[in-house]
Amino acid sequence: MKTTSSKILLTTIMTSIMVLLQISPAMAIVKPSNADACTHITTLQSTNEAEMATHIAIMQTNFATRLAKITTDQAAVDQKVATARVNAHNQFEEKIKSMESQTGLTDTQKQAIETYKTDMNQAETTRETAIDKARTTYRTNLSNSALANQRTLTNAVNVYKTAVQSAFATASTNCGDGTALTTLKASIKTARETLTTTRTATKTTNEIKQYTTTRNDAIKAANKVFTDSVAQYTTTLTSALKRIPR
Amino acid sequence: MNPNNFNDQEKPVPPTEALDTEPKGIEPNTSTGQSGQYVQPQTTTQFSKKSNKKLFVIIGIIVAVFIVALAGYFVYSYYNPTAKTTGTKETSSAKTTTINEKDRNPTVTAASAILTDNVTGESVLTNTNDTSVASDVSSAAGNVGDSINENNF
Repeated sequence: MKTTSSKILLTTIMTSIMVLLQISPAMAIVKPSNADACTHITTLQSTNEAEMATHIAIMQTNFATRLAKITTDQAAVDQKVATARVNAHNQFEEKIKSMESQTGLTDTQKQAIETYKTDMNQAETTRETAIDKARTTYRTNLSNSALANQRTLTNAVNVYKTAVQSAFATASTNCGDGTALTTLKASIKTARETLTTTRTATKTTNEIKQYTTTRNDAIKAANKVFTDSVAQYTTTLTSALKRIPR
Repeated sequence: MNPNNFNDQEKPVPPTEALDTEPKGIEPNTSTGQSGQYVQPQTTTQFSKKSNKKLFVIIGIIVAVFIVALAGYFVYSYYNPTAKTTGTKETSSAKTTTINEKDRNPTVTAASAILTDNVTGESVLTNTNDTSVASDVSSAAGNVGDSINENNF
């Protein structure tokens, strides 16, 4: 009887010891890395997702700023061009009046000046129309390209963001797993590389350069036609004014 | 031929040049002396001969002057295209005003230069480079990717 009681007591003590060992700090040393990894991953998740959100917000601000800058720059150029055209037109009119006010002009010479003025104004109007058209086309293409590019980049960033969030979620779930952190790093690296690849592939710098070349060629062609016409009209009027009555 | 023979049908013949110059419709005032000797006819032809020569000279001078004037006109018309092609009547003030040609052509050139110079200035203004639109946004997107550095985990 005594022997049985001793056995029960010994078993109870041993069980108690086993239970105590399970919940004691000494027992925690058995799996210390799992707890720290989970905490670490949780910290990384909150910090990096916040950082990512900040940069996404900065990017969206940048996109809006770039579109606004296009509009602002174009308005500034339009203003300068309009001013230059008005000034040139006014100066041209003054020269015409100066020519018309010269004494000794025959009726034929006066008519030649009037014809020159009309032809020059018509040539200038034609030139301005052609140039404005080329610039408008360029701007439309530029705006469409910029918007499309921004949409593509936004989608790419959203893919990246989703991949990162998914990677952190997976790591949090598997934080007890010794490979969770390694897997997280690999996933984030892959997500970033995918974003970089998309960015590079969708970069529209060359596309915009092509629009610029097309615009500039059109402007050069219009200017060439204009300057050729001006040379012709100038020669004609000069010849007419050389016929001086004696 | 015997000039005293009245029966002779042959009559004295006046000098040929006198007859040739005899105006039509004027009856020569011929007469013969009582002796029947031929008398040089006293006609107005001799007076007209001298007058005609003078007349011919005057007419010749007039014709020559006219030809010279006509030639001068053609030469003038040839070297004065304005008058030839347009026929514009110039005002008297225009004719009398001295025109300095050098003052006009530079004005034409200057007027043309105003607009052609504006072409150059406008090209500078419109020749914008907007490739930064693409590079900027691409960089902004890249910054998002760089916001997380897994090497620091």
